[in-house]
Amino acid sequence: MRKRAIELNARDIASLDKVLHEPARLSVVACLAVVQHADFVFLQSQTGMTGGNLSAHLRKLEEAGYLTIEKSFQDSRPKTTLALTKSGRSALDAYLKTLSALLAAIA
Amino acid sequence: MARQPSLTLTEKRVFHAFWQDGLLDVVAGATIAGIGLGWLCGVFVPMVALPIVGVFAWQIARRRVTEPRMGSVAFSTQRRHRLVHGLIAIFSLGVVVGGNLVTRVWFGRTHSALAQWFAPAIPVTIVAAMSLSCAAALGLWRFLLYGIILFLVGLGLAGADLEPWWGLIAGGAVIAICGAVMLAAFLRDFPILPSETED
Repeated sequence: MRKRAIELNARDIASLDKVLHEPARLSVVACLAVVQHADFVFLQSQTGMTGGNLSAHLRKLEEAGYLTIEKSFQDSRPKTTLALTKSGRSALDAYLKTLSALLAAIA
Repeated sequence: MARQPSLTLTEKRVFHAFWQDGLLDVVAGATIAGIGLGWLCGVFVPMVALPIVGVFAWQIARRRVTEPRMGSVAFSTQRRHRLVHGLIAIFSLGVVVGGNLVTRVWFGRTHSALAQWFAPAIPVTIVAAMSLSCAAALGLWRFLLYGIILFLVGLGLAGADLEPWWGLIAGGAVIAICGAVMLAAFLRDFPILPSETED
């Protein structure tokens, strides 16, 4: 029997976290994973997203419980501080593990 | 077995982005040149406090200039520990190298012609050594270049038999100018972002 060139398991592909499997959200989570916390402007400057676009993605990540959003004022300007939660960190780890296993299967 | 992708490069990229505004270079260069100028004008001792003023000036400038454009970030505990250890290493190296050179050459423990020839270059060499350790501690390789420039300035100073303060003024000016160029590029590339909106 001929061996299949690509052994991809559909269940593995489906198990990829849909919240993280989106380039914009993944870049936000990757950025927050390597720092303790960052503010909205920092994420905007690092990801190149517009304010509205970033807000929408942050809301989805917050709904998934992957990050905490803290609003405050600094020098009478609004300041939003964001940090990855424990569950966000483990979701990223699991996502990277699954993705690398999938990539290894087709490499 | 699949190798899991690492976020080390992302962390390095984010850390480097934090320092790309050139403010550190401007403040460090101005501080070094200020110490040289103070020495030239005969007020060397008060100028020793200039690095402390420089640290505060850097913090204020960062808050006013950089943060509205780039935002603020708190790095991981691991990174902050590495930074603190690096800064302690810079200070210790400065004390060891500086103390050794000063006692050997200026206080006459050695009378070799080479040491006497090199004497005017000692202050700028100490700053060069600190710049090299700063490059290693922060991973900012432009400080390696500054260290080399400062060392070459020191050699030129010794060769021309000039007073030590000229080395600090010239070396500090070079660093401050490089920082000013970086700052101009940063201000051009990072406009102040509109306030956080939900549009």
